[in-house]
Amino acid sequence: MDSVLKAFIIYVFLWAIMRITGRRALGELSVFEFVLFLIIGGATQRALTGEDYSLVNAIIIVATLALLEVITSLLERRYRLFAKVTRGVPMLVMADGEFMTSRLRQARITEDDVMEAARRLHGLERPEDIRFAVLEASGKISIIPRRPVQAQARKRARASPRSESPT
Amino acid sequence: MAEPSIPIEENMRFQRATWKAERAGWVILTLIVAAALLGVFSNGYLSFTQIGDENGFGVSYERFQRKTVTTHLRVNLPADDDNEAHLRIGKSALDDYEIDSIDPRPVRAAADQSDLVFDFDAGSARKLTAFIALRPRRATIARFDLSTPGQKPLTLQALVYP
Repeated sequence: MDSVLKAFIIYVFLWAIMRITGRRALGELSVFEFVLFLIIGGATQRALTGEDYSLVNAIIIVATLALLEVITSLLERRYRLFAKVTRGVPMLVMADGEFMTSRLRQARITEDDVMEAARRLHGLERPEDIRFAVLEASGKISIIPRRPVQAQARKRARASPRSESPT
Repeated sequence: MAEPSIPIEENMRFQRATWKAERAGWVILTLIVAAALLGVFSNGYLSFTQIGDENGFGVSYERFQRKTVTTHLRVNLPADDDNEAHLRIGKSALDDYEIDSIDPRPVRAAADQSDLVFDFDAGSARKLTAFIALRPRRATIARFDLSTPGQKPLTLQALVYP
C-alpha cells in the first residue's frame, strides 16, 4: 500500500513540477536540461524505492505509474478541461510576421527560439516568411509559413538587386 | 487577433490563469528551498534544539527528522559517586525509533518497566556525553522521555517527515 501511495504522490508532484517549470523546459531540451531531468529521475527513484529493493516493490511502482498514465490519458480524452489542465493549451506567438512579444515573454521563450524552429522546420530565414508561429501545448514551436514561400523568396531575390543599386 | 484563419483554438483566459498558477508555483518552490536551507526539513538552524542543562543533564537533537534517516542525540549526563552515569529512555521511543548505536558503549543495558536503562562508565570525570543514533521507523510526531536519577526528566518532541 505504501508503494502505491508513494508512486501516486511522486506522479502528481512531478506533474506539478513539470507544469510549474513551464513549456520551455519541456519542449526544447538542451543537453544540460536533459542531465537535470536525469538527476530528478534519480532523486525521485530513491524516494520511491526507499530501502525496499525487492522485485515485488519494483513491479508495484511500475504498475502504479503505468496505470496512472493510462487513467490520465483516458480522463484527458473524456474531459477537455482536464486535458487543458494537465497539458496546457496551444498559443500563437507570431502572426503575419509579427512577434507577439508579451506572450513570448510570459512563456519565457525568445524570438530566437521561434526563428530557430523556422529555420529547422522550413528553412525560413526571415520573420516575414512566417505566417503563424504556435507554441504548442507540448512545448514545441510549430511554424506555418506564408504561402507560397518560394514565390515570395524569388520575388524578393528579384527585387533586392534593384533596391541595392544606386539611384 | 482579427485574423480569420487562426490555425489553432486559443484560450488566452486559460493561458493567463496557467501563467498565474505557474508564478504561484515558483513562489512555493522558493519557499520549499528557503525552508530546507533554514532546516525546516531537518539538518539546519531551525531543526537543531537543546533542552535541559548544558553542564548538567541536557540533550541536543533535531526536532525535524525524516523517516529511516538516522538522527543523533547528544546527551549530557552527570555522573554519580561511583563514577557512573545513568540514562533511562522512555518506552515510547521504541515505538517510533530503532536505536542504531550508542557511544560510548554502556557498561550495562537493561529493560525496566518497558523503559530502557543504560549505565555508562564516566571515568574520573563528573559528567559524560553520550551520542545516540536513532532511526525513525515511521512518519509521526514522536515524543519520549529521557531521564537520569536526581534530575527532572526531559521530554523530546520531534516531527518525523515521511
